[in-house]
Amino acid sequence: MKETPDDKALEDRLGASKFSGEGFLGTDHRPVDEIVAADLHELAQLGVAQETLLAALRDAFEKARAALGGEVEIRPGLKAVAHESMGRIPSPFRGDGVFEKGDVVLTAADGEQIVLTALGLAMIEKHSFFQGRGSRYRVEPARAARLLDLV
Amino acid sequence: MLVSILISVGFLLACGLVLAGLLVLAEKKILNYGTCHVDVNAGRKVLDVEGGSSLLSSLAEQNIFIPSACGGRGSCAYCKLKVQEGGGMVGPVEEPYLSPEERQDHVRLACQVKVRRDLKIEIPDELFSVSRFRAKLLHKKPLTHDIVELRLQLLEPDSISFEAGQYVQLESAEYKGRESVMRGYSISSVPSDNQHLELIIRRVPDGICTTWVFDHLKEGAEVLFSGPYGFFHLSDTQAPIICIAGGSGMAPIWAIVRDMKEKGIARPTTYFFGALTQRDLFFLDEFRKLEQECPWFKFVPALSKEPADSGWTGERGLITDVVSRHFPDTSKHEAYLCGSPGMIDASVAVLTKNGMPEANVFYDKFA
Amino acid sequence: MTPLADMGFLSSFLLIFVSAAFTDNILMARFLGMCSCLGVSKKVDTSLGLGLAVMFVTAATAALNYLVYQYLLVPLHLEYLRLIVFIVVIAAFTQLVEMIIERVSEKLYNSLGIFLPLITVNCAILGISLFMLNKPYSFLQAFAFGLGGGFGWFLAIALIGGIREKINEAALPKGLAGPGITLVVIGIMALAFVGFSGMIKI
Repeated sequence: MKETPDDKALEDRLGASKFSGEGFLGTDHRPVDEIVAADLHELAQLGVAQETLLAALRDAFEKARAALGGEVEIRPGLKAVAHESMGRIPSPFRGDGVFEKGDVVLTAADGEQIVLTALGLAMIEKHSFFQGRGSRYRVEPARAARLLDLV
Repeated sequence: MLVSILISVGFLLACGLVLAGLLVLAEKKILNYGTCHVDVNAGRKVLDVEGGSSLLSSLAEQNIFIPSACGGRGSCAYCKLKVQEGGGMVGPVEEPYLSPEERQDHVRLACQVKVRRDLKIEIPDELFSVSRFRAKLLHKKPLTHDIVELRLQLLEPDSISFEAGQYVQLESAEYKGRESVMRGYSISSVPSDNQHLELIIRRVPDGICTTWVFDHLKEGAEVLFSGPYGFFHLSDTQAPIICIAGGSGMAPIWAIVRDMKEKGIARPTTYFFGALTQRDLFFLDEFRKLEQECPWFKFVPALSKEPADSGWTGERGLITDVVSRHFPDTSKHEAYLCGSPGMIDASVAVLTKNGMPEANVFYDKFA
Repeated sequence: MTPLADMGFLSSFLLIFVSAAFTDNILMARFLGMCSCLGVSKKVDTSLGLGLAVMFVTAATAALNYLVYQYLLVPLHLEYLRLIVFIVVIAAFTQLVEMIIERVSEKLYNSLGIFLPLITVNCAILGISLFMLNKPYSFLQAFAFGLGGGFGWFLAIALIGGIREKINEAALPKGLAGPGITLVVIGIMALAFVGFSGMIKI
């Protein structure tokens, strides 16, 4: 199917680029719309509002960031560590601006992980884009909701 | 029969050739803008450039390097400059990046302005002194488990003039399908050694440029970078100084303090070096030596995650708490910070809480 | 003698235009140009942009291809090559127009020009050029047919874009979102356009 020039440009920017070596889509071959729709659908099935999930993720992110590299316990069995990294990264969505680099790794007792970034959180907030499957920074809605005890 | 085959083949061939020729001709005629004059900063420099390409690349060809990270894709918005005349209308790509005031001021993204006619532009004066350097990597020395120091011998141009605290943009080479990218790193060497350049680089998991530096860059290889950039440097005042930097953020501080020593600037200076554990510390001996040579300088390493039973006798705790303990009153001081945005935000909060005016806090977030 | 020859020039022009736009709507009645329509009809403004670009190119290439056919292919008895020749002519024409627009007006380029590469190879445009040969049109009538066909496509994609903007696709069952619901919409609209069929016979 043909795409509008805007969609095509967005998909180009979501792929591997000078900013993101792996790209935001991972190994996902679905179009962005479809990824967003599927994730929103999943959240709706779980009965978790996007805002609730986002607020919980952001809370964990801020707590870890404030600890300057130290480990913090978000809730029993869920630890978070911030990894600093210099520089800024522009959002692949045009006009959203640039975001600080560095990530926060949430690790559950059984080793399950979610990697959060400032840019990733902003993309969830503005575009409901949780990134493609296979991306290191994908926030799987169901897993995130489970780890943060929202379901 | 044969004739009709020949006619059809010949006709198709002719048809294709004529149309292709027409397009080639059209491209030459229609998309040829001729030579355009670009007037930089009201006559300070007038460039003759071939029209048709972006202002960003046209300027780079003329050795004026506007900072850009995305390489002209219109997504980083670093390459802002003022186009007073001849810029044409603001395109849909740059529109979201420009505030109403900036539009009033004719600010544009250099990568989105196509040179179609004579232009009048304005750029910060410091960009005139930016050049692109070719250098040889003399050595790559591991400082900790995830930090290396690079020492470069400048080849062309063979010397650089900069202020301690400024940074350069290092260009990574292509490897394993990764594009060549540019990333900023603070200079850790002193300006007096103008034929060499030192950088301190921390490995970032999955980082495009740092992975190249750690895994692919070999000693003796050629390295490209442009610079110097940035406004992070020592002020002209006599105020006592507090420096806070951890990890690779030490680079500009290391340059500034040694530069002060060389220039005989003896302002009381305390450098707080925050790290997690002992394995993250480096340059301890160098700083201790500096402490002995310069009575005005004090070095305070602080560890936040060091096991309680280790032999560490220095400061413990979050770097911000340590600073607060040493300087409950910071109202007379100036602060120089370098590090992650999280560390800088926390440090600014503590310093201002203890009385420092925000105008006296200088930091480099590598933005 | 064809019946068209009896009519006044303006009325035949108008009649062909209307029939090409409505009774023979290239998108709704012949289902051509579906690919770009499904992909680009998410919003009204992009739909309008693409629609206008298609209308312009269809009209111009219909006229151009008419000349190529009548004065090159027919004399050389190479009518069977029309498909491949038309494709090349259309592709070259869109490229040329893109260059001209880029040079002449940035504004026009940003609103229309960016769509031209999308329609370099578009079956609706080729379709119009081929269908016009089925009737014994004069040059101006062929132009009217191209203009009408392009207008029909423009009208259809503008309507679809408007409807899609109103549909909240996130609320649809997963399998139906995107192209699925668009095809359903097009199907229902096509029923309405089928109502026009037979009204004008030319």
